[in-house]
Amino acid sequence: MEYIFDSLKKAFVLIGTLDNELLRISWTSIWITGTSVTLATLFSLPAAVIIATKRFKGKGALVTTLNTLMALPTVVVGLLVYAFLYRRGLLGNFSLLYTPYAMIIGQVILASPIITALTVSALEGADERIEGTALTLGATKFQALMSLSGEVRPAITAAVIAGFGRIFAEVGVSMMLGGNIRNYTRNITTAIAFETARGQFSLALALGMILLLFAFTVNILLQWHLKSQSYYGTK
Amino acid sequence: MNLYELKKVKKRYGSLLALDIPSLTLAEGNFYVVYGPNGAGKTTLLNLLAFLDKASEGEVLFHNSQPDIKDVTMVMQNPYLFKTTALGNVSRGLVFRSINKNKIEKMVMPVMKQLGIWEMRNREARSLSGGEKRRVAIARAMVLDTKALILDEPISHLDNIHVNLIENAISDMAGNTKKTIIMTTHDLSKAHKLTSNVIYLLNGKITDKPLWNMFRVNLTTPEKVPPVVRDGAPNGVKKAGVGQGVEIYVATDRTGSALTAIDPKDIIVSRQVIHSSALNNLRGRIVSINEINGLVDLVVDTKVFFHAFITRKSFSDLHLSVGEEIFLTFKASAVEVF
Repeated sequence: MEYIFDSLKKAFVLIGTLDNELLRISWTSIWITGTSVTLATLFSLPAAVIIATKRFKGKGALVTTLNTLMALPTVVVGLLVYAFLYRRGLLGNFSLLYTPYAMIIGQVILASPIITALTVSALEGADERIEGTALTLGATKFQALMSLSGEVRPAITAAVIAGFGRIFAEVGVSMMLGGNIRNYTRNITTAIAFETARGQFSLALALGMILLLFAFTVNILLQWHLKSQSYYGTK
Repeated sequence: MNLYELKKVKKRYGSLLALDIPSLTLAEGNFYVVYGPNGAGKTTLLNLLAFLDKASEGEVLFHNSQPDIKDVTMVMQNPYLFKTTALGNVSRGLVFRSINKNKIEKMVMPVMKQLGIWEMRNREARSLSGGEKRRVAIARAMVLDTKALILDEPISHLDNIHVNLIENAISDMAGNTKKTIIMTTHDLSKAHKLTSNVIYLLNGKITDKPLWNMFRVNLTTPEKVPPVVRDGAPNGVKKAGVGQGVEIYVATDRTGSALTAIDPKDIIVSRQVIHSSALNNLRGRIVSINEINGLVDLVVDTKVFFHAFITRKSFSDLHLSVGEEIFLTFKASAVEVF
């Protein structure tokens, strides 16, 4: 018990003194996850709108696949992307393995099905009259779809947050594709695993606290921002 | 000039033929009311006129050409309000048209004031009552500079205050603008009060027979044939319960479920029972007196309500007033069966 308290104390000191190693690791997590979730959102939201609003063959199968991919194990994604990126793989010439870019590719693959599937579900569950109402008011098809998305904004926010949470806390992809290289690809989760294995509980705990704090802050900021804004201006 | 021209329009939902209109023209600047019972095809027709839906067959021409959806706006029967303020909702169509924000407020203010919703402009739409929501939806459509304004049951399930506000706003718009207004209603008296252009729709078809005094009935062969029938011996007289134990005779060969209607002009109003060849004699009390297209519309409670039209002279000669007991007489052949 005393050991845990001691580690906690050291963790607070590391955070309080803005330890260089701690900041570097945190920044790596932030920019890689931030880039991944942004790319995944940019890809997933239009895809979700198309899936939810268009009728096409195989739509049911696609939605079922997306729902299944939501539970995709991170190590499986890591393994699949690894197979493409390693030296003799299809994309081996690009030398992306063990770089932040490889981590971003893996994380985009992890987050996209979550954001897409949850957004499709939100759009399909939206009031049927929204699109028709917008069209009767002279909206273009694009404006009508933006109105529809705007009306389910909180659910879309939740989808993006779920995607963010999935990749911010994952270890498998980061470890397999990033390689936990110090000052380069070591992020919060790989560092926690590494430091714990080395017996450095205080740094691992401090990183764990930062992970929670950051996830909490991002959640609050996203909810606040997206709830107060709409496509057609503030409420 | 015609705004709409419908040519051989049919609308099917699967095997169901919901609408079948061989020909219909709606002139620019006129006010039309579409009347019909539930399932008559009113909303289907409005959706075609608003270009929200496409005809299965035939053409809906707008200004003799293909339509531009920005020229038409529609207020749905159960309108959707966006998750924003009342002002945000009324402004939405103008925002879609990229109109300057300062200009928008100047445009929406008079309409919102006319409909009594300006004071609640900053309230969230979801916090508004049913009548307020309806007025916001109507204001949202009225502020737009469209050639046609379509309203699906804009006054149903509203109290008299809201009904009057909305009716006045629509009548003002019909009188002061060149907009073609097309609305549906369940209330035929209101329809005739608002305009002389009433389109009767029944089973997806336009009919020129006035759909007053409509009842869904079960036509049966009477056990006891009335004396006049026995003497005159016409075939095909059936009995039909119109509700509350009130029964009428109908001249038809049909039996079973049917819709019936009686033209109010075919009903004779008298202070005493009339002995004649007419099979239907009902006693009732006048509950309301209105004026429709130069005639006096008497609403008579015979346990079920009947409308009877008489001339002003007859009304004056009979010295009728609300609450008085009168007799309604009409022939079995005056009852239309659909």
